[in-house]
Amino acid sequence: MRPAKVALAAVVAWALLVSAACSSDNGSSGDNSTDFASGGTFTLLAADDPGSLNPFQNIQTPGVSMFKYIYSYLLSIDSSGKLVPELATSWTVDGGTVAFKLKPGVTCSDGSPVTATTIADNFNYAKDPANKAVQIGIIFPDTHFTATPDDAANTLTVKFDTPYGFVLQALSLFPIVCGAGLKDPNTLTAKSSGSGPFVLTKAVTGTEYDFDKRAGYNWGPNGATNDAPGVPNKIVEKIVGNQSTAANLLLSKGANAAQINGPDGVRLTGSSFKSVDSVVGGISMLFNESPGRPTADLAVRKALTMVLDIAQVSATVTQGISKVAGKSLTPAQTACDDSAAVSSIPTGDQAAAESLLTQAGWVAGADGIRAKDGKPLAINASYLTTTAGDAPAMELIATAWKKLGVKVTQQPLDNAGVNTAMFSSGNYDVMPLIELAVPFQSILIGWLSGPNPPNGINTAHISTPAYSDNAKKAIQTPGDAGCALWTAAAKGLYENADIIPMSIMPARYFMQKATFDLWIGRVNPTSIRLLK
Amino acid sequence: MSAVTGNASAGFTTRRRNLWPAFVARRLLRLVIGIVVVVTASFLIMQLVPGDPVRLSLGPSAPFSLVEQRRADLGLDDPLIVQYLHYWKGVFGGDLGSSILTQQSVTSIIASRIGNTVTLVAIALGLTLFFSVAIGVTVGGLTHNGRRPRLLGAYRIVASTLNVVPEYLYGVALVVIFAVTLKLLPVAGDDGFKSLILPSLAISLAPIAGLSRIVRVQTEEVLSQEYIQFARSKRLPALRIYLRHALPNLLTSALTVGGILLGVLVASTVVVENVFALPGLGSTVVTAITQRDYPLAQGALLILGGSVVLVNLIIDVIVSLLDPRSLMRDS
Repeated sequence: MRPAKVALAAVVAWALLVSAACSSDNGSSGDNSTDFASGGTFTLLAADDPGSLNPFQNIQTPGVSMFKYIYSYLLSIDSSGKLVPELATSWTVDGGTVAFKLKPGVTCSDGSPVTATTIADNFNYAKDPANKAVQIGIIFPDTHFTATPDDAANTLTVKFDTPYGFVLQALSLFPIVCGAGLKDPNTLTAKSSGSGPFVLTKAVTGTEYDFDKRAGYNWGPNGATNDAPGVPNKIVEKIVGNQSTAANLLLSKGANAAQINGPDGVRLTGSSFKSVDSVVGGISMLFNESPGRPTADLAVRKALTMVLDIAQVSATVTQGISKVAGKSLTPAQTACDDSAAVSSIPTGDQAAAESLLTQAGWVAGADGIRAKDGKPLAINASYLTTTAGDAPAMELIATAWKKLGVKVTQQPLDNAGVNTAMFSSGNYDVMPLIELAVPFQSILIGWLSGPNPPNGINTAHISTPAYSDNAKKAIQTPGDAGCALWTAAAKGLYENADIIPMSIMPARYFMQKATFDLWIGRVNPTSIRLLK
Repeated sequence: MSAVTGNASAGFTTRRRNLWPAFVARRLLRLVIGIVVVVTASFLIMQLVPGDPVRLSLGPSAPFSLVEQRRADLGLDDPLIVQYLHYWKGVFGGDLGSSILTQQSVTSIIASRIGNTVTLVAIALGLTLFFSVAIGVTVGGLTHNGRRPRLLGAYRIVASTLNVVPEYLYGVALVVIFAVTLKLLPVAGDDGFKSLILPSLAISLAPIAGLSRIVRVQTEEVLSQEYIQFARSKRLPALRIYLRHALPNLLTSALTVGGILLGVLVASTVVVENVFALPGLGSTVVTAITQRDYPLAQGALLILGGSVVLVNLIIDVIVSLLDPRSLMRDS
């Protein structure tokens, strides 16, 4: 698999993601306006096709990021992770009820107004089981919510039967489709029906998506407007899965920007290109605790964790972009910082790990492989091969485990293989480098607790009350109190060595003659500025 | 329908018997069998590849109920034989289903991409046939009867080497030289005819090297034939000997091997279209298989495989027209 494809496929593997720019050497706000070009076309090379352009049927990252061109949202998360107004000018949260004051004068690309009723219709469409909206169960916990519009007062009230701690973050990922598109959502796969800053003018699957600037757009996040200097007249997003090809296109001035994480970035570093990094998600180590698996034994999980130099693994898997150990399962999100929980990750030296295994009955045999009750300590380490750093990082991990007397079988997999191992065959003991790109902690609840496949998605058979009990309370608790509960929940997972944060999922963009901020690891459309 | 009358230049004659009806019947039977095999293979290959396309499209954190519902909607829970029959029904009706990922009609996606692949393969096949025949005949003529052994040795080394270089390496090298360094041609993308030049070169260089070796050997053989020696003894111009007498007898073998090479060229598009970010069926196959987009992968494989079967039929007919002796051999 080509590296670019890989990087991309990895992102696709997870439901959706939010990222925060972790470093930027040239944010658009910092440039002198006299350097901005007038009009022009901004060409972006994307590694993946966005998939369905129907927002109710696509919650994968490439699609979610493209919807940002076309649609408006009640509110947004800016590149620093802060919630900012968009269609809503203000909001209040009271338990499970969120009341929005809406911006007046917003229109769809077909000229129709965006009213409170238009927005409420989107909630009603999503909650209708007949429409099978993918948001339900992922960014909205269930369909138990009611949207009440008041067009005269230009307000909207959304009431969730149960308080939802991440409701504002969820709404920042819920695009508002205009009336015509909502009436016939099948048309959304070919044309746009939104009130966003750009209008879809060309959609060739797997090839190219073109957008024209909307004149008069001035209701963007935090007051973003298309009248700002440097805003391109046209955006062309070309799908180029091969990172070498993308780098060549940048070098030949065939594009303004591309995401290039791998070795091809070296060709661009130090040249006339600027780069910006972003955290897309986290890389974690997941143990399979299903009965009969060696990793069902807590001592094994702890020992395997203790002998790893996680910072070194992090540097290897990110190819030097991050040299520190992972701090969270959801490092990209900013709603709740649960990094304090990493103090609960089992630590110790080689001798301590060996002692732990010996005490648990795993004794080294003549061949050096530990065994218990005649069963060797042999583990299947399945790992996703999405970037050039995955195999070396896996080798590093396997080497440490072999020194412990563990027989390690490395199993490289693509995204489909990982899904099969998790949801069908269950044939893995540990996934040391699984990529999690989710916007907030609550999305992981079903995956880290509850029923196992085929009745649920708790693929690792995790049963840790310290996690599930705290998470259950946390999802209904907004603010700092909720975050404290999420931190306690994460501690439960780490103490039990169910899952361990290893690193971040980085996204590095190279750009020329343009600047922009990043949103969910992708280019934020309203921040794009062309330079002379 | 013409009757076999023999090849004058080869002095070949036979009794007048119309062999075409039987030939066409056999070829049509082969075509039908080929299509059945292609449809079945394209269906089964995707079914045998592990991975749940719905889970892949919705993500691991999607609720179990949503995944189950989507699978049922797509008919993926039906028995394999039911899915297979449903697929045949779709093929007959021209409906190859909808992409799981984009929900667009597979037929429309293929229609938007087949042009690039057909053009790419056609250019590559043309380049392969033209240059392999030109190089093979030239080298064969120059080295006939043991003349210029050094040239022959050098040719063998160069042709053997070029024949084993993978197409993606050609692609990378061509891009670096002609696009990045000289900036003469586009690096990648779909920018009209000039976007097809480097990809078609990338996939045809190895086949040119391979086929030219076969043509050279054929040239040696043909030039040793009595009718060529007879033509030489009549002091016919060399150009006339090559073009009028030698070439027609070479073309049949070149075309036959070219037909086989067509499958290689089509397969090469899978890699090269990705290297050049050229939207065609090859890149569609890769994306669809990676994402387990069954309907799209099946549709693209069906069209690619079916086109190879069909073009081979056409080449068989052309070869038979050029060299009616093949009808006799075929019968």
